[in-house]
Amino acid sequence: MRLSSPLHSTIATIDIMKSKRSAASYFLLPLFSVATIIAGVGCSGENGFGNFGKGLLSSTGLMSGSQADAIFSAGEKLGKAASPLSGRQEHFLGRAVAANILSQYPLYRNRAITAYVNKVGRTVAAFSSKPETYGGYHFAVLDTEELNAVSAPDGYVFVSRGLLRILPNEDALAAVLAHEVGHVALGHGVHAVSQGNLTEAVTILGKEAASSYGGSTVQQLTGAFGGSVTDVVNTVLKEGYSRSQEYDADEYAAQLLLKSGYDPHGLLQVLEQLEKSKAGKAGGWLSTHPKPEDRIDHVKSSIKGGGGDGEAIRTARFRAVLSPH
Amino acid sequence: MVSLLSRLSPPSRCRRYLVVSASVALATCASLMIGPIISKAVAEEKVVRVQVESTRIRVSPQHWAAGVADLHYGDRLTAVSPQGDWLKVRTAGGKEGFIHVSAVTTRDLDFSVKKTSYSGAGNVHADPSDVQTASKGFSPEIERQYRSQNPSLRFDLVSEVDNLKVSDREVEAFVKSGKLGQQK
Repeated sequence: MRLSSPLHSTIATIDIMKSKRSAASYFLLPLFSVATIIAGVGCSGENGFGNFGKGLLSSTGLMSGSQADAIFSAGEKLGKAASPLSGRQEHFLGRAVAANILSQYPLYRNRAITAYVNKVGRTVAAFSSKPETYGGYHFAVLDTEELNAVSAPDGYVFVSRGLLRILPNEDALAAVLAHEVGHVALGHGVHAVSQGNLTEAVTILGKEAASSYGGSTVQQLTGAFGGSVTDVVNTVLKEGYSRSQEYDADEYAAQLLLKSGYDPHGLLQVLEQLEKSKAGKAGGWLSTHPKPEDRIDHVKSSIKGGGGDGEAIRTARFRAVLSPH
Repeated sequence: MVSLLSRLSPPSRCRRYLVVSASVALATCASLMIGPIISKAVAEEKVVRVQVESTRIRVSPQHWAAGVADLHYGDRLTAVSPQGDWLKVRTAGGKEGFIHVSAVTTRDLDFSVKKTSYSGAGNVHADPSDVQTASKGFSPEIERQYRSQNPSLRFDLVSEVDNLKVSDREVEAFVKSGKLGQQK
């Protein structure tokens, strides 16, 4: 998980441009191009998630103090522009998306299963690039036979009973949840907000605090909020993310599984089970995601390492919790 | 530029790998642009602010390490030194500990802190009433408006999902018993 060079980063930017209707991506592309080059220098640590810093960069001779100053200056600006919404605003967006999802699918109320899914999810989320969100990660089960898993901004993740039923073990469950955590950490939900709603929201957000809003401004902001929620709900439940976003989430999941100690082959097992189970099924991942066989082809090349201790223990506790249901 | 790049592009599978790796790293760094920003904050012993609803600083830079102090949205911390994805910080009360960089920011938060209060944990944080009245953008007030316009939406179930909590201790025990937490 490291950047190879500014050239490859630029290719990545072009790839993003090709992806489907990602309004926020278009909006932020010029900034991302610069960010990528900066990230290529400042984010190339062994684990890919850190080892940045002015002191570090200049003290190791990677660059002069003035170069570091320039980078941090650019970084400061990017920090303000990289996400159009703050984490707190993403939280309220995520809550409303979750409320829509829970209006369309019943919540499965089984405390043991929900607690278990939360433990697996919290484990993989802890090793992600975004382990802390405003409201924290929450994992829940939807009472539907559809083969589905969806997420909302700020860390709401839902998996269906139908999908749980075809999973062979805990590592496969971790793979499903890691894929959804990938969507959250990569900001795909917010990127699904259309340009119009985003522009309207950001324009209003630049104004004074809510206490000074007039009634019409509140209505306008509520309208932008509602539009943004609808954009995300339509994407996660109906249209699906772009193919490139799905492949990115798969790649992210494979690396996250490895980082957290799960076997990344769990992701392949999920996709193989989806392929086997798709006959007679519709909706969910089968309609909103690329074909399982295509995802398998992409995932195989990115899985390196994995396996080892603990798989038998994890499978045993998976069966103990889920087999009776 | 694009045509030049297309000539320079490696074969598609390799390109795909590079693209994804770059995208993931880009998103990591861009979404958490905090890295350089935080490092600058460290160099200047700058104040950073907690950007999540609640968290804690810990005795060591590990997710389930023991907590030193509980923190809330808007709390001010002095950045002392970076350690990987973690930051050593000092509270206003003088307590030091580690916090993950994704939990803090140097950006302006969504409210203006007009006054502060002492929480008893060594932290100075925003008075909740200020947060409520001065919040900007997508906020509880906007959610209330949206809910009143969409009464059939199941916000009650969202609260139910929110309320099912698994403690850090339970997750830590789960990780240990499953031999997780270390790359194989």
